[in-house]
Amino acid sequence: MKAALRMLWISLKVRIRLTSVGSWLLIALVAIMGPAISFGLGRMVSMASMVPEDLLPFLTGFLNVVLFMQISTCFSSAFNHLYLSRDLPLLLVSPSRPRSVILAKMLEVAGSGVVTYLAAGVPMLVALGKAWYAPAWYYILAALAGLPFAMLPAVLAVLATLAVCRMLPAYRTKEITAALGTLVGGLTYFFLRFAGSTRMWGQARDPAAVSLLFGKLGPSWSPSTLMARAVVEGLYERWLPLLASGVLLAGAALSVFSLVAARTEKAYLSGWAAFREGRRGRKAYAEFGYPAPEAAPEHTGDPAPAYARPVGGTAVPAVATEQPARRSPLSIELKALSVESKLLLRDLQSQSQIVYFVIMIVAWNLFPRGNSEPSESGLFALTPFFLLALSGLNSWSLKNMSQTVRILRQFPCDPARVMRGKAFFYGIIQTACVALLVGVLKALGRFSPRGLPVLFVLWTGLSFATAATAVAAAAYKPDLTTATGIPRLDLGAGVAAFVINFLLCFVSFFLYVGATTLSSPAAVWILTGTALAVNTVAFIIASNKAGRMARGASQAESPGTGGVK
Amino acid sequence: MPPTHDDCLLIAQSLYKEYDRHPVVMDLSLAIRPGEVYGLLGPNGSGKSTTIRMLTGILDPTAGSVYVCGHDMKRDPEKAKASLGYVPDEPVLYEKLTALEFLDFVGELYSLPKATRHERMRETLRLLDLEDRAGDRIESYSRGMKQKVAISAALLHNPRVLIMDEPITGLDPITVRVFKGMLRKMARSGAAILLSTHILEVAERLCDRIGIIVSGVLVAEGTMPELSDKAPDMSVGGTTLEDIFVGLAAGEEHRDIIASLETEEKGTTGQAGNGGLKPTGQERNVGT
Repeated sequence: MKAALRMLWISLKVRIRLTSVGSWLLIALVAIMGPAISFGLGRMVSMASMVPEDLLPFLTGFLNVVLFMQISTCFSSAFNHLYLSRDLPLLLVSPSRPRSVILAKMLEVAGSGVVTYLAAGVPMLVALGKAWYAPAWYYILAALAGLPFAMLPAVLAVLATLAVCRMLPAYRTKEITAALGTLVGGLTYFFLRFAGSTRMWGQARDPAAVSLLFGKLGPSWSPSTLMARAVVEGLYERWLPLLASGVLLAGAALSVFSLVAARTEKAYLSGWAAFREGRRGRKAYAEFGYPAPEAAPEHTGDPAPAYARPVGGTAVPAVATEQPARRSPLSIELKALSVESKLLLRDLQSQSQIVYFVIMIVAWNLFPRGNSEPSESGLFALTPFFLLALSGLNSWSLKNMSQTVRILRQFPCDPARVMRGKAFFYGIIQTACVALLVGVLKALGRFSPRGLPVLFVLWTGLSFATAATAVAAAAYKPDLTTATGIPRLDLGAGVAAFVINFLLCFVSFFLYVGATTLSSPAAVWILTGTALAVNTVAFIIASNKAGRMARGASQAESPGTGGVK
Repeated sequence: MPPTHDDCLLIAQSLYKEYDRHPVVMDLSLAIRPGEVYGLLGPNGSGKSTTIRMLTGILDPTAGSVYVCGHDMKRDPEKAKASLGYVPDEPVLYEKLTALEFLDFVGELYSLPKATRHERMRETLRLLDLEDRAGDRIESYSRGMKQKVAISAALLHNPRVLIMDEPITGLDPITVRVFKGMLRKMARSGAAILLSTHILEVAERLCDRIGIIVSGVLVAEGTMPELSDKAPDMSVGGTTLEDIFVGLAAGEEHRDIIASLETEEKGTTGQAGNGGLKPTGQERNVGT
C-alpha cells in the first residue's frame, strides 16, 4: 500500500506539471461553478422543505445523479490512468510489485470520482447543514461518509476496462469504455430511480420538475438511499446512523477494491501487453472491395502541367507528373465532408456527444408543464438556439484538427476549402439534432410555435454558422508538437467562439421574434432572410479564417525532435 | 556558377530560422538537380528537420526563400507543393481511416483523376507490401506500416521533387531494399530527391551528394571524395562516410573521446588476441 501511495504521489506530480495555464483556469472555473450550483440548489430545496424528512427523495435522487457522474467520469478516465499514463513504463519496470501499480492506478481512477463528489456532493450537504443549523461534526461525517461512493464506480470502471481490453482491439478500448460509462451510469441512475416505489414527495405539495425527477425514494438497499437517510438523521443531530452508514459503505467499497486489486494483476498485465503490441483483427484487401480503377483518360499534349515545369527550363528531363483533373467546385469540400463522416462514425467517443442532445430531449419531455405554461412558450423556441450556441463548441471539430492542419500544410490545396467541408458536416449533424428535438416535441404535443418553417430556417443557418465558428476556434493554435496531436481548445479562442455563437443566437432569435409578430408576409421573409444572411456571412468568414489559421500555424510549430532550444 | 531554375528542381537560398530569437538554421543554401539524390546529415538538434520543414513549406523561414520547380514556396505554395512529395519524420495520418481511404483523400488534394489515383494507390501499396492490410484502419498499424502509408502518400502523384525526413525509420530490411530501388528509379527518371538520415551506410550508397549540417550551418557539401578532402586532419582517421562525418560534425572533445575509446579497444583486442571485443565461444560458455 505504501508503494502504491508513493506511485500515486509521483503520478500526481507529473500530472500537475503537465497541466497548462489554460487548463488550470478551466479547472478553477469548474471548481467555482460546480460547488456554487450545488450549494444554490441545496439552499433552494431546504427553503421548500418543512422538515428534513422532506429532503429524503430529493437527496436520494441527487446522490444518484452524483453516482451517475462518478461512473461516467471513472469509465472515461480509467483507460487513461491504467494504460496511457506517462509514468507507467517507468513504474512497471521499477522494483515494485505490479499489484502496487494497479492499486495506485485504481486509486487514481477513484480520485476522479472523489473530485466529482467534492465538487457536486459536498456543497449540497453543506447547504443542507447550514439550513438546519447542523453541528460541526455533521459536516465532517457527512463529507467523509460519501467518499466511498467514489470507490465503487472506480472498481466498475477498472473491471470494465480490463475486460474490454482483453476482448476487443486495444486501440478501441478508450472509446468503448467512455461510451459504456454513459450507458452504465444512465442505467444505474434509472434502476436506482425506478426500483423504489414509494412516492414520498406528494403531488399535492408541489407538482414541479423536482418532484417528477426526484420524487421517488430508491430501494432501501441502494447506497444512495442509505446515505440520504444517514444525512437526514445527521440533520436531526443523530450522529450514529451517519457514522454507521459511512463505515458500512467504506467497508463494502474497500473490500471490493482490495479484492479487485489483488485478483486483476494478471489481467492488467496481459491487457498492457495486448495494448503495447496493438492486437487487432485482420481484414483482407479483397474483402474491402475497393472499386476497380476506371479506364485512365487519354493524355494529349504536354504530359506535365505548366506549373510542374521549371521556369524557362529545357534542360530538365520530363518526369511523369500527373495531369490534375478539372476539379468540381465543391470536390475538396465534399471529400473533406466524407472523411469527417468516416472519422465520426468510427469514433464512439465523438458520437457520445450526440447523446447530450438526446439527454436534452428526454429531460425536456420529462419537464412537467405548469398550469399557466402555454405550449407556444418563448422558452421552447429559445432553447434550441442556446443549445446550438453551446453545441457549436463540440469536441468533434477539435478531435482531428492537429492532424488536419499538418496534412493541409503538406499538400497543395486551399485549407479554407477543407475547413468548410468540416463545418458543413458538423452543421448537418447539428441541424439533424435540432430537427429531431423539435420533431419529438411536436409529436408529443409539447411544442407548437408560430412560424415553425421560419424558425427551422433560422436554426439551420445557425447550425452551420456555429459549427464554422467551432472549427475556427479549434484551428487556432492546434497542438502541432506531436504526430497524433492532443485535442485541445485554446482558452481565448474558446471564449471568443462562445461569445460569437451567443451573439449569432441573439440576433437570430431577435429577428425571429420580429418576424413572427409582424403580420406582413414580406416583412417576415425579409427578417428571416436577414438572419440567414448574417449566419451565412458568419459561416464564410469563420471557415476562411480557419483556413488562414491552418496555414499560419507554421509559426507556432516547434523545432524538430532534437531541435536546438 | 550559382544554381538556376533551368538546372535545379529544388533551390534553397540563404535560409535562416530562429525560435525565440535563438537561431536554429543560419544562411543555409542548397540546390538539387534533376536525377540527383542529396543526403542531409547532421547530429541530433543540428537543424535538419527544421530545414526540411522550411523546404516543404510547413515552416516559414525567418529569412531566405525556397523554390520548387521554379515556384516560390512562399508566394505560390500550392503550385510548389503540387510538384513536391514529402515524407515527414513522424507520419501524420487520420488514424480512423483505412490506408486506402487516406490515400484517396490525399489523391483528391493533389487533384489526381480518380482512375489514376486508384492505379497509383495499388502500385505504391503493392511495392511497399501493404496491399493486404490496406483495408484495415491505420490505427491498427505498426510504426513501420504507418511509415509505408506516409511514403505511399508522398509518391502518389509521382512528384518531381521528393523530400524525406528519416524515411526508413521503422521499415523492415526488405522494404528498405525496395524503397532504395524505388528512389534510384525515380532519380533515373529525373526527379530530385533530398533525404535526411542517421544511417550513414544508406546515405553513402544512395546519395550523389551529401550536405553536413552542424548547429544550423551547412559546414560541408559535396560528393564523397569532395567531402573527404574537406574533412579536417583528425585523430579518428579513415575514409568512410562515418569517419568524414565524425571529423566534420563532432567537436574536439567528442573526437578525443572516440579516439581514446578506440585506442582502448585496440589494446583490449591485442591482449585477447581474438580479433575483437566479442568473447569467443569458449569464453561465452564459461559460467553457463
